[in-house]
Amino acid sequence: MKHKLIISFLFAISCILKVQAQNNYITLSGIIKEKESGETLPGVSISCDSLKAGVQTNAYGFYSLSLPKGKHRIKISALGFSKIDTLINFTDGLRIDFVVEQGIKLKEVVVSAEEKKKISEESQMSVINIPIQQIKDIPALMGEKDVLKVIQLMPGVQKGSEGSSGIYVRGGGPDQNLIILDDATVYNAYHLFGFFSLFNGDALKSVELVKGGFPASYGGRLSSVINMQMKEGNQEKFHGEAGIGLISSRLVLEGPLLKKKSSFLVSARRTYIDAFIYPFLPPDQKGGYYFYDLNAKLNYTLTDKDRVYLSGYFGKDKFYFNSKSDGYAMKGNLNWGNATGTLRWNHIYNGKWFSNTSAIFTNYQLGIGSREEFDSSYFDLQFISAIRDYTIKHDFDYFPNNKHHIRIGATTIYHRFRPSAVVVEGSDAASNKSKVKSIFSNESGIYIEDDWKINGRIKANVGLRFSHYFINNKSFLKPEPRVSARYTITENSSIKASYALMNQYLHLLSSTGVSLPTDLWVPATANLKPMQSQQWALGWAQELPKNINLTIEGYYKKMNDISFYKEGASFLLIDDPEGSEAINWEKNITQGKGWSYGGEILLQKEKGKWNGWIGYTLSWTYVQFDSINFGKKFFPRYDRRHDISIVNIYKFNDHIKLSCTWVYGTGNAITLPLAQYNAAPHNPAGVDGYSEQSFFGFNSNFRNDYGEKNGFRMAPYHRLDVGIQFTKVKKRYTRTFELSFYNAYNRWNPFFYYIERGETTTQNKLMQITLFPILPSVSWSWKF
Amino acid sequence: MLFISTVIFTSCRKEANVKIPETEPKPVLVCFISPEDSVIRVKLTNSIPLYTDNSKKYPYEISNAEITISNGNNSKRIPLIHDTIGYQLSIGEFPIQAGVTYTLEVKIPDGRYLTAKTTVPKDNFPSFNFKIEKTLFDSSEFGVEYDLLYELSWNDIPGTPNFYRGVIYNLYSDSILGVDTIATPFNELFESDEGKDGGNIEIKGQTKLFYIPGGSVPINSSNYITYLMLCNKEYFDYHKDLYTNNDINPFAESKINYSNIEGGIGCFSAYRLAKKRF
Repeated sequence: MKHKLIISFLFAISCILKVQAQNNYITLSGIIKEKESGETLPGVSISCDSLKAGVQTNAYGFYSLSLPKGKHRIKISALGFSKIDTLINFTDGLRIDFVVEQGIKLKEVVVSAEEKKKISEESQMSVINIPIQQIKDIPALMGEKDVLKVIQLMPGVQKGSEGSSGIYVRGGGPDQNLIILDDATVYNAYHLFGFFSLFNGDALKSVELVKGGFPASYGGRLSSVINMQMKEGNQEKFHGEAGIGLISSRLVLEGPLLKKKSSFLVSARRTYIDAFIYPFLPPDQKGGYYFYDLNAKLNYTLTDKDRVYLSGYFGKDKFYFNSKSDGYAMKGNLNWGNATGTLRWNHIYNGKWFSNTSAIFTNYQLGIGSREEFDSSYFDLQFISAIRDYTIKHDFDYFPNNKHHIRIGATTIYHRFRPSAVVVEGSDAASNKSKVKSIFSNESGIYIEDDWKINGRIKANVGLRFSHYFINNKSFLKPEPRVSARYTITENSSIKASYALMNQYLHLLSSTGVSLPTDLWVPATANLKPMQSQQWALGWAQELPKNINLTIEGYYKKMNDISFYKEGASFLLIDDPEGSEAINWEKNITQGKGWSYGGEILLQKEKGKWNGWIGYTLSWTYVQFDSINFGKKFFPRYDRRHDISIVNIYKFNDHIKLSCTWVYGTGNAITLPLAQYNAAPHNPAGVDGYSEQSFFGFNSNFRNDYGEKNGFRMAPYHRLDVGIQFTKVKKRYTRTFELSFYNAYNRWNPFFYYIERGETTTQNKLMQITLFPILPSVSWSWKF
Repeated sequence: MLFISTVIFTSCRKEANVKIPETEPKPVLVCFISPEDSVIRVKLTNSIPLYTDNSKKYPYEISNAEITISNGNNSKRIPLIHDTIGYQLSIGEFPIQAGVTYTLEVKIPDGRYLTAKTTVPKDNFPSFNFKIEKTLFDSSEFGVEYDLLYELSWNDIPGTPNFYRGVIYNLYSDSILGVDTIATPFNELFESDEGKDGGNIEIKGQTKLFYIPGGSVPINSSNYITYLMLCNKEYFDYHKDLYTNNDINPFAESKINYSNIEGGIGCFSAYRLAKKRF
């Protein structure tokens, strides 16, 4: 069977590669860059209106346009950039690199609807590009701009709980999102238990969210891809950006190393809560918390056909404490962090072939450490849980003619998991170093996809991916067909449809309803099957006047072998890291099915004096596990019937910008205790008369009666955030002051409920804890 | 701690403004039967709603129910012994036999009706080995602490899915409470033969015991008693749920306890018993 699949895949590749270049056609190719920074620009349109031919630049700014010999007027346009309209004589072997200038700098340029990338023309659906500027404009918790929080405002994306950056896409869990930074997977994208994400936008060039209709080049997760590219670094001049906020400060520096050849970018952020509170703590009891991020990127142009990039991310969170008293000393810490590194090589073979080769390193590690000292004795405990990946990736872009854009590639990832490793040492006992039980697996994928203009009305992205996974002599080979197509109805509207089958070979074990750093990544094994999803979507895309886009999409997603911790099993190791050794994680996982369906509306205006969006989602999500809720279907906690987000950014003038965000969501589905009852266990010693505690062979053992699993809805969540930015342009720099209010009308949204017991049951009260009332914040930033 | 303190400092607490579903008490039935036991005991109570007071209409103990046990051929009413004790019938009057399915029916005068079925495992608990080792861990003016290492093993009965529950008790006299012999469970074990049908089942464990001077004193000769139950799945699921369920963590997903009672909640199940005293 496996051989048949591979042969059919190879046959498909050979058929597609036989797509011939048209005779007498000349190919114009090159790179499109931004003038001010020299950054390459993805998604720029290059077209010849008279011949109704057009292409777009790929993720690295490369384009390839084939036209008949002769002179043709070529138009280059991108949202927010000046338009280039030039006459080019198509003769043999044309290579032209274009430079475009930001439209806002040119008073005479008015960004028109024609210049804009039209959503109705795209064959892909369920893809949202988040403008970086909007991330910086939207008010945020404590003033910390956060990419994942902005993604949560998009239809089809839900947040988990108040303040959390964890995301749930179209009924999928937080483990089902592939978060990529410069091709490197980021396993834990959150700081401070999820209140902030690793990505603040300063160092980012682009952010793309894919919720469905996945191209074949993506694989490894069921529900979404969040693909972030770091800026390359300004090739023209030194440039910087600094910011000071309530909880952190940040700095970005970028500039050329060798003019037109090489540039760098460094971005850093650190919190300073620990430094503020340090003087107020007693000298014998010190503690604190901090997190930091460091992004760095270097690029070097070797030749006009070769360019290399080296980029990395390093970030860490750390809680720590030290205490001393009368010969007794204790210190401990909880820390977690990611490190990623990507080395990429772009190569242009000729006007039709482009390739990117990446070598990627990713590491996520959680550590808990403590040391107790009393006189001359001591006790040390170290706990480590980690996942590390080594990845090689090779992708080709092939432009045989203007009707096809073919992508072919292969990836292989070598995973090393260390679900838990404990080291205990002490002066009173023999040193006990536990064996570090690492688990190794290999995940690979090969794919081919074609973005194919079938005729004037129909365009499709057709692809096939084969994923292969190997662990402990067990291997899985799975085909993953993908298709996404659009049918143009009018010049400004189209209908779209897509289907995608996805496999996921990693599971995230969480014993809580919120994303915590203690959640464990574990591999699929012979006993723990890989997860699989199939998603069908149907949509409508419409360009409206004044640069407004409307998309309406409906989807149905079925998930198989999704994993969940068995009820009662715990992987929360902070309290008992030693106990984690005894946990056999494979035995504590149950697998089941999930279903999600719904509709999404997005009305979006990306540019202009007023910009923003309105998003609405109506959805249903169910899950079913044999070992949970007695095998009956139930709503997961994050099932949300209605979800609304309204984002408005209004620029009064060059100095004042007002932004506000309003969100509304149906309350989380939870299991509320409704009654208590005596769930007496069988006590055989009591039956034998050994114990007076056991009465009649039964012990009293009061438990909660919950009614239906997740059958109770918390109060709806809604919140308004408002921010105002004042910008002043000085001779050497531009300064921006921002005042913002998170939860401006002080809505007390429930974080969790608990019962406050009275003397009688009628005096019992259901109490709620609210995390964030109205929270004002201020921040300053400087650009130079 | 710093984070938790910050959260508590900045968080707000108030009574929730949500409509709580009105809850009527549910009848709760608990009954475990075994050929090795001398009586059939039934405990029948009402659940206690958390937000409404129905105690006048629904007292905690249900002492006016008509409870009948049947084996398909014969049936017998289980009489009430005492309001707080519950219902009891000697197996001399209604024998519990291995491999037989029993049905329990409960009729409450207010109209509520409960029923449940269970089948007694047909095999005896296989013979088992039990070893326990006690070593002094620490001794101070506050008490004496021991490390206990124990090992249990037996051969699974092949051909059928089997479920096992074990409880190990420490026996001691308590001069403060004035009780001669108290059994305190110090460990509870759950095992099934899934994936190891007919094989050797071995359980190793470790725990600590602490004795307060002048208080609990271990009985020198017979410190421990081990009960092992070869049980049916209902018995296993119910007890494992009780053992592992944790209602405390507000972030954790709440777990609904196992029940096999139609018309109410609780458990009617069966077991075979083996025990050893050391």
